[in-house]
Amino acid sequence: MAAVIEAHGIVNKFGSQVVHDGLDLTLEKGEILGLVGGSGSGKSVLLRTLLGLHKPNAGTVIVGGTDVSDMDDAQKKEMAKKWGVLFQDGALFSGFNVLDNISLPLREHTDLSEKDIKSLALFKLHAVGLKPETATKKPSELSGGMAKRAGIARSLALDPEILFLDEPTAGLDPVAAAAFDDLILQLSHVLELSVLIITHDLDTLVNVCDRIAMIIDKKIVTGTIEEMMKKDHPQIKEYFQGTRMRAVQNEPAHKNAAGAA
Amino acid sequence: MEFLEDRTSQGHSTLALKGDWTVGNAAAIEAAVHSHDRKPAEIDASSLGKLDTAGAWLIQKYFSKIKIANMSERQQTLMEFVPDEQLEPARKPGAIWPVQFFINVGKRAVDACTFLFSLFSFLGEVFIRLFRNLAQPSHFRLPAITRHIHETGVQALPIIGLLGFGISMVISYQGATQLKKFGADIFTIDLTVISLLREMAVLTTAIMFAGRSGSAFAAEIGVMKMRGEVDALKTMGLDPIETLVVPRLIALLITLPALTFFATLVGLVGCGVMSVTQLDLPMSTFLARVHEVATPEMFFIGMIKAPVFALLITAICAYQGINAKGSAENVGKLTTLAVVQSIFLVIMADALFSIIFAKMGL
Repeated sequence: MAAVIEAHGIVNKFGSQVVHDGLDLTLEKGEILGLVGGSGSGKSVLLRTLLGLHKPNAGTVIVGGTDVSDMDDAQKKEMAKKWGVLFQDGALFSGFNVLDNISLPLREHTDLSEKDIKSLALFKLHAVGLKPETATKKPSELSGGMAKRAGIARSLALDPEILFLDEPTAGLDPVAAAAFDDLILQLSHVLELSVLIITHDLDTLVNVCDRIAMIIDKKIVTGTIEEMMKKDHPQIKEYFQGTRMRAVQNEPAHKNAAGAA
Repeated sequence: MEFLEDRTSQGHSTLALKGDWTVGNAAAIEAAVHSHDRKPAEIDASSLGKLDTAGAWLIQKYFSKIKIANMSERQQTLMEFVPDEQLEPARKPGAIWPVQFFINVGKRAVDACTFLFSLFSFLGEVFIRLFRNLAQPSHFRLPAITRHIHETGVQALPIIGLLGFGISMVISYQGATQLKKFGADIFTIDLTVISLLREMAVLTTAIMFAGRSGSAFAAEIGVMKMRGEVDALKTMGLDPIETLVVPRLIALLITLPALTFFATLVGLVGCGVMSVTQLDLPMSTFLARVHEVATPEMFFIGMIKAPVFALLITAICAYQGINAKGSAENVGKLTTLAVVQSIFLVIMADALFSIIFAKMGL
């Protein structure tokens, strides 16, 4: 397997507070990696660092062979086609309706006709399980789950290779969250995506993620869920052997069933 | 780059897909397909490079009923992902334009009437709370009132003073240039003092208040409404109008007249500066003219408008805030609307006052 994202020796400091200290992270091609860590452990800062939105104090981020920190504008534009990001609250542009939100990257980066862009955007809407009626709605008229689905449709507009999801199931009811987990699995399977999910949702970790990366002591500890359960570090133990985790583990996982669908 | 190749052999028309059928090439692929007008009997995908959803969508769009051979398993999965029919955005049924025009006019008219109606009922609610509070003075929220007096009044002193000074300078200057032609430049003082007392001080202060405090009221209450803080108040048994609107109204009822008075004073100083420096009148003459012109009548004609304007501004801006809906972008819209409506109503009310005072012979 080849790595699509490699982060080496990332150091992030805010004043005297060190958030990441020589952190390494790799996202392999085609895998779904879950990024976890307690509140304030710097998950969002790490995501922003990977996306080149935040310049680390030290270290390099290499995405698809290019160093993110010293890309020129043309390279940044190319990079934008390679990755799609679903921000925590969807970050849909409030002035546009759903269809225009999805069309925006297509309009910017392709020479397709307006009719084709609309039609392709509707296909993406269909792909994430939203009805065509949703297309003309404004983001403010959508429920939380619908806004996240629309956000994922927008991030998939340019058929990226890498998908970043920032707490995709936060604030969703269990049914919607499970459906969203299935959607992530289905999309990553059909579109051969490499996915990085920041999540607090233990169900997502167990059912969706191939591998888990946890921010511990300003560094990353990775492993499959089984490996993480066996680790001796007190914080990892607390996270993966808590009562909530045990409850999730006792459920029949539906990962394989959904993956095959 | 080539995307299509004709591989027809023995009368069996076959079209081969070549290259990367990806979103970046989509426009070029479209052009290639259009230049290939003959419909093939079979599609050969053996030389197909990369395929993404946009490519799969294009194949579905142009070759939907045609057999596709030699597709890899993964490409087939992707093809199954594309819906069979071309999707169309849901169109809202619209009427033809002359009809639509009348529909729009009708809607606007109804909207305007409902707006006025609900504004008046809101005003009624505010008054009920206000009088209820007057009956039980302990219910007044003094900390909130003082905070609003500080924010809308004390902090506005410099800008209102500057405005009063500037306005009276402008009137004096314009008046003096015109009246000089008739040798009546002494009446510049009359002109400035009368317009300042009757109209300009209160009007400019009110407009400044609408822009400065009214917008803040609308935005503050609007954000509270959208973040659910207004509902939180209700669940705790607190009345949003009593807690949010009444303190602001009381504050503005105090500060707008007070600042009008302040603007008048500073305006008179400005007028004095002008008459001494530009009209070469001694200070004593200026004071004598002011004493003669600035009667209590003139003063109260101006001052009586201030609380009315304060009421209008608070009512409209609080109303827009309380009725905020939707997302954060609406805060900008409702604030604009609140300021425009309150300035408009302030000027309309001022015109009404002028007519009433004229009929009364004042």
